[in-house]
Amino acid sequence: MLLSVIITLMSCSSKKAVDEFYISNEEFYRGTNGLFLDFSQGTPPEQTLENNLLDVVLDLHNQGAYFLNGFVTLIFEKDFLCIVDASDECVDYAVVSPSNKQIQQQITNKQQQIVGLYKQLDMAYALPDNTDIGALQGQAKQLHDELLTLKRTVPVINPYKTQLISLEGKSFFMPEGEQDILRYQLKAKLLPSLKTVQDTPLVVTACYDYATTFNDEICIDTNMNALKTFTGGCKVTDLSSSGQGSPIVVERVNVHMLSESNDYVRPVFEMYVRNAGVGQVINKEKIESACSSQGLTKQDYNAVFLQSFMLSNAAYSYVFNGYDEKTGREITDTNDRDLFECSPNPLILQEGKDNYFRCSLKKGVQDETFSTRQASYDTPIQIELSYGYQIIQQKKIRIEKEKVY
Amino acid sequence: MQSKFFFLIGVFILLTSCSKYPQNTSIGGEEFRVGSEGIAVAFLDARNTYFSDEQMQLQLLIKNEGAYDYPQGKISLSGFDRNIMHLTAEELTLPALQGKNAYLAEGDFAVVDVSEDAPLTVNLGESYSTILQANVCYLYKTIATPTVCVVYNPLDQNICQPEQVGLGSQGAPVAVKQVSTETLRDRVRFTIVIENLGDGIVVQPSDESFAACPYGLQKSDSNIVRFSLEINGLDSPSCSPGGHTVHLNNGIGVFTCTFTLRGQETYTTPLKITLDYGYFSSFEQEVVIHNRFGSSSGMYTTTTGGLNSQGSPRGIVSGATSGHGENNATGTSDSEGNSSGCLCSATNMQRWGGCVCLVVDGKNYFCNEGKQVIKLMKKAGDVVHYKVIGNNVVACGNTANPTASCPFSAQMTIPRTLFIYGKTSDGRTVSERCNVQI
Repeated sequence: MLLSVIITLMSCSSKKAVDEFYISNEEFYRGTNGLFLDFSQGTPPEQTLENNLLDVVLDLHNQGAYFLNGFVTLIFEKDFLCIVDASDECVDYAVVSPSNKQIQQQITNKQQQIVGLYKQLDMAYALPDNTDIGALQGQAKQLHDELLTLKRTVPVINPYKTQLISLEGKSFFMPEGEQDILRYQLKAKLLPSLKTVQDTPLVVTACYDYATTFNDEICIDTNMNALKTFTGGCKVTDLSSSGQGSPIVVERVNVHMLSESNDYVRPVFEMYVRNAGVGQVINKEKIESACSSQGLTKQDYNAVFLQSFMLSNAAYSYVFNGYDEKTGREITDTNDRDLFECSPNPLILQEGKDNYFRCSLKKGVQDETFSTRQASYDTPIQIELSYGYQIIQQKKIRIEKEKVY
Repeated sequence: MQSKFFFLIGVFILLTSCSKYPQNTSIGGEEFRVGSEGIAVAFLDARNTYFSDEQMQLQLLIKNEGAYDYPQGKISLSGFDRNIMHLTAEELTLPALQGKNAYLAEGDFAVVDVSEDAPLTVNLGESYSTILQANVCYLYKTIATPTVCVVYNPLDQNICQPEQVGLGSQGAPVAVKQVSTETLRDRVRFTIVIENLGDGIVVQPSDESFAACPYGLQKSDSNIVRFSLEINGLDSPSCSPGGHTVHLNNGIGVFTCTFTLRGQETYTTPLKITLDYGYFSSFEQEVVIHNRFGSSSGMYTTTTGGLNSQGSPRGIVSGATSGHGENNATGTSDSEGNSSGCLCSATNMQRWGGCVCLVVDGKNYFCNEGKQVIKLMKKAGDVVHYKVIGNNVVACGNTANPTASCPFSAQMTIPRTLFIYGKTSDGRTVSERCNVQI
């Protein structure tokens, strides 16, 4: 039954999934890939004649584990290339088509509704004698159909050099991650009369926001001074990981148990973060600017935000209050009820240095969860990061003057 | 003929009582004083795999596999996060259990239910795995009664000869392994070797150490055994180490006791050795609890949401979710702010049986304890009117007025973290943190 539903859902998606059958998302949260972006094989041609049309086709593939929304923009020298409209005439362009933006918002909403339905379906399978499964399947199929219809309303060839992208990440509903292609039709302009050949670069940039979620278990070691005879089931150890299905990786978590008093421990975590991808980390608030002529300033690079830090089934947490652009730091919230404090946020990644967030239980928190009058135990930890990411691909095109005999 | 028969019987008794090779058991029922077990605990019919929202319905099978009757003790559970597995934090009293005897060859047993305050809850990650421990602390006794040779005159070895007696186990985790006899003039000295044969830890048999067992147990409380020796007809011996307590090193302890003899005779006799101690054992069960709802955190990011736009609420009980924390369940969204549009997370339903939502400009927002950013198209410092609505609550409010009627209307300056409240019909307070941004 479950298999058939998943197959049904797969068949509704825009790309077919592989034949493998997955029952958990856990294995998708591995590796360091995010968006794959490249020119399709053979496009654009390496050389073309002036006043000639050329197709630029881009392959996009979300190879990470998270939903992806962002922009792709084509950058070229206006003296030699232009984007054409339906009648093959060069056109000016807006940065992003307003109508596309509206459609994109609708697509995003539909995706979110689908995610919600996935969760309900997931829940429905687990409950015995659940009669909602059929109805939920129907809703999921309908939403997928609507999503496809919406995607078809975005012109395949449009005169805008910046386009919105929205791709589902890997999950057991889409084990390979969503793939898409973007097409631009360009024209090589007439070369100046004295030029017979001109090399010109074609650069494509993708800017998107992405996330990293690190899940593991750590030991709350209550035997701080090693005097206890019964130490419990675990000992505090540092964690490591090779990737969480995204280019920014939490590669190590160092754990320290400090003494709050004789009766309580105060856990402190150092979470080491690294850019393991091929792209550039950018301010997640400015991904549209990054893919437009507005560009970014120096301080917009390498900022990774700690969105949340959760411990012990989310009973103890830190949640990011928001970014104060003036100070470049987190907004101070005096009503903050977080039991953990974390800094720095955002973390600015520096080359060749250890880059880490530090989260510690606030002083004075004396809950039974951290009491030394109990055995050591394992507890789940979750770290959520958010950031913008930019990747660039480029090709050189040679434009030749048409020979007239 | 009859007198000859009684003579033979008398000689036989005399010979056996003065045997050159003493037996290590001499009191009735000794055949049950074997083995190195004491109290054993097993997880009865326990599964390794559970799902979030389930009750574990744990039962412990507790057996007295030793030979000591009705030991006093307590059982506690550890090795798990109490925010996930809501098993009782109370210590369970060890049931009164008879030890092994002629009528109860396996020892007595009892089944104890472990109470749960709430079903299993896994909010983070796909699953939670741990090793559940049932820890039992109890006071136990080892009684060994080897037959020893008491010699008044060292030169007189006709009746029996003092020698080293090896023993196996006595139906208890700490065993008397060896008894050596040394004859002195009008005194006899016994050197006793004891050993912890069980898998647990020997605990000093004091009220303080027993109270500290197991979580507060320090190394200074461990490996201490109280002992006593007794020979019928003789006064209490003088022993070393003093205080009738011995420390075990690497599980082994040695002590000596010297008896002063009364009569000028050589004879064999049972030596009653009693060891008193506390004992701590831990029994384990591997447990994996799967999150039914999957790990959804961080799976969703939105571009246009901007700041804090990541993460859809996990485990929403009904209805789909849309960006920025907006509840967008088909047909249930209600701009008037009645409860039909307020959808509760599974966690809130489990914890409180209801929840509260925020309504701004006719849209319902599930705040998800601040994890969901509510992004409003406003400027910093703008005053925003909002409503608090509830699902399955009888009162709604904010920090200043937590128990007003539903829907509750107020205003706030943004951005801010807003705390909203509700009260369920059974009087529980429902709270929610709303992360309202511009």
